[in-house]
Amino acid sequence: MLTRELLNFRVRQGVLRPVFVKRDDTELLTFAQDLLAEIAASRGGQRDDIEESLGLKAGAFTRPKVARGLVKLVLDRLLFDEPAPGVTEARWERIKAAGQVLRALPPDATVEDFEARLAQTLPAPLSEAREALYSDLPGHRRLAGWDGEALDAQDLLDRYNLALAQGPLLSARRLRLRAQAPDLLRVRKVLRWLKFCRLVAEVWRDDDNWALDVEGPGAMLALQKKYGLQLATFLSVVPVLERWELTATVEPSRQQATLMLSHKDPLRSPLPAALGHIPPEVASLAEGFADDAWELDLTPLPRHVGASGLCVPDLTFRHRASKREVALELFHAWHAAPLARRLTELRSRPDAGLLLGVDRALAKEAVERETLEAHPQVVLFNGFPSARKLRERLAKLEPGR
Amino acid sequence: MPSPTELHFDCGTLVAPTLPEDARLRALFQKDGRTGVYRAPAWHYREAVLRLRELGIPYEDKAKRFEPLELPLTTPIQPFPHQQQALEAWTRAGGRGLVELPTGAGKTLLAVLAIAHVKRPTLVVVPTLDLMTQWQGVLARHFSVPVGLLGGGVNDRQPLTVTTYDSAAMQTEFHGNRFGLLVCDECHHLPAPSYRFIAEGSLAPYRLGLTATLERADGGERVCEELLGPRVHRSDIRELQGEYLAPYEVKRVEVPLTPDEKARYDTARALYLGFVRRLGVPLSAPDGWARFLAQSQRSDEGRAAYRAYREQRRIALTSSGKQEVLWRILLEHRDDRVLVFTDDNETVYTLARRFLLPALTHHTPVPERKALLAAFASGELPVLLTSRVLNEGVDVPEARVGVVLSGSASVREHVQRLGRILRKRPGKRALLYEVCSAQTAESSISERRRQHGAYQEGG
Repeated sequence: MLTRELLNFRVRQGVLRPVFVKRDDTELLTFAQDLLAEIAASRGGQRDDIEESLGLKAGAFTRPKVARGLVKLVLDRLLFDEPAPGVTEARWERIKAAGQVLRALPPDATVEDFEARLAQTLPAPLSEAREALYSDLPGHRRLAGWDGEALDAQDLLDRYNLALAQGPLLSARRLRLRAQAPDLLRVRKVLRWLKFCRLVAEVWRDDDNWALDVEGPGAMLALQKKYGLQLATFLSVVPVLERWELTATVEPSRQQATLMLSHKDPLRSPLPAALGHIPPEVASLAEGFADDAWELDLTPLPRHVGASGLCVPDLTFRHRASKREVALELFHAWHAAPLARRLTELRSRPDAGLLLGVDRALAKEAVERETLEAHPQVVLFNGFPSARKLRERLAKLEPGR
Repeated sequence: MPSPTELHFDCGTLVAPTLPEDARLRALFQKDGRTGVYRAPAWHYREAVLRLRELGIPYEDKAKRFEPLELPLTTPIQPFPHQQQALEAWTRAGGRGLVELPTGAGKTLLAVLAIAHVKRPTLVVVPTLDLMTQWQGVLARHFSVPVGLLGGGVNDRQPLTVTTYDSAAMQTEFHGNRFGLLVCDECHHLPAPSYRFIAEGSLAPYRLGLTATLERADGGERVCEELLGPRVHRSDIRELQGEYLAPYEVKRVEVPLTPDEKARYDTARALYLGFVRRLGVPLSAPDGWARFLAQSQRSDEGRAAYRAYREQRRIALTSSGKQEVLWRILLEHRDDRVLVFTDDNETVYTLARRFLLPALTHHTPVPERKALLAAFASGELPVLLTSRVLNEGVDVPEARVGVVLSGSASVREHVQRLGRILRKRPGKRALLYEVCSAQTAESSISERRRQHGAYQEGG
């Protein structure tokens, strides 16, 4: 993230727009490459020296504010070595020895007398002792490499643009996100990231378009707690949606403004590109599911469950006549803990619109099996629930209730 | 049969998936249209539970993650009358409230008594890392349980834990349900917007706020009263004065630069100020310093001016005359405990290397801070060098001599530094030296920070 003085934005008629850099800005890409080359050449160098050198380089660039921002983002991702073992212990011995020498001096002693006695007491020459005394300070640590994956120049510019948008969000209490006909796997990824960021959302759907009002759990209360950092973290997943718009009321200085972002901005998600996949058995079920009363939908409409859980179901069944929706969440053999949590949440707050498909591998013990078989919302299956079994269960649900 | 009311803790809020039809209970919560539950700030927990009990309605408390704790004192404490009165007033108020006691009147010990009284896991929130380690030491001395720390790179949560306001503000959403008693030391910090959530997001039914001066210019004391409880006790400083503070003396020492230093200082300062004048930006302007920094990196002339700025400052802060005076003071008081304050870390480490003295700055890891303060208290170390981290609140009763080698123009900082050596000990007479370089910009800084009654009275 960028600190306040490194942010770059304009406010016109109450609308705040970050001053993004062009992703193909040759001059900046060259500067970024220079920075990264200097980092590569600085391995083993002291942090203070590296920071000073990069700072001077940034100051001399034609756009120093942008350059300092890039330097900040680079420094945040560098890994410096740990202090050599024994530095603290050696320091301790030396300062204790110095204290004893000081106390033993006569009242008219000079600094030179002190140094002479110290030199006799210490196991190493005084100059070395001085040099090593605080060699473990952060500024003296040596560059070990990148903390995580190394960045290239394009990554760095992308991170900079994202950080420019994240900065104002730090002062936001909520944001509104609209996505135009997003791919469902992308929505799923966004919803999972929402939970990871410990945020909640009110979700609307209008045909294929989605709208999410995203905020912190306590935002509705008169709490001073802001969720700016979580909202800024959430932003990093938003570009996966491809066609989107985001607005938030922000207060980067003393005046409020509306931050407006969209897919037209040069924002790229730094998260891994993988979107997950729809399992082939789910896809084939979706294709092969034929029922007069119910239709099947793969839209992952999120459901808040229990006190604070968020369920992103695998499937949704919609009753053709009443439009009632029943979601199905699948629990495979490796989902024992999530299943236990979900059952607890359903006890806290029953949700008749949620069915749990549970692999029989999770019901090996007799007591567990009986409990699950008796549970009105559980459908047990081997490997994957069949269309027939699901149709039977859906038929038992009274539409419109 | 309907399931009983459940209470949950969710990121600093109290959540009930369902609630009985009771207007008073429901008034504590709001219906959360986003998730369909009832939600309240976590600090409403006490009222919610009391109401459920009053109604005789069965409920399942899945919110709190703490239970009563056996916390016997290692040795009995005989409180001072004002501490006893404060404890009784706080207890009468149901274990909620604010206590206002002057510095040195034993606020920490009062908290120890409160913890032993309520027997609940306790979180103590303090403003600085050094106060954090100091509180840990006091709690560890009085209770035979491990005392955890959260902050300064340490993440060790225990039933008795001390943390800083900064760490607590970030962690409350995770541990706000772990403690039954919340103690806010120097609680006048709590009303800051970024800190309020510490009390808002905590379930703790018992709360104690400690401060020397509750009043705030912005009326923030009302926030303290709402979140921690009403003011239950106040002892005026005049009631306790003479009992707790040591008499003191202030000595100002002006040190001339050597001719060589003076020449280098004048040259560097002229170069630096010349560049600033050509820049046309007064350094007193709000963005003056930032503009100087930016401009100084854009040309060889600017870079030279920046180097000159650092050079003249370094000469004034660590002149050989100052180092000689410091040496004389250290030697004269070699059997005392001496705290040396500087304005910046660079000077601290320069002096530390020169004299092989221990330095305590924000870089010092928490375990080393604790060890340094303990060794200083025991007399194993006669001197501690520090920049600003010991300015506020840290109790160093053993220190008799303070040396302000450099500092800002802040009156508050200067008085706080004086306060570090004023803890009363039998026969103690505290001595504060202020050493400043004559004929440099430091002289006027020194004049400005001495504008305080305590300072002038002492001088």
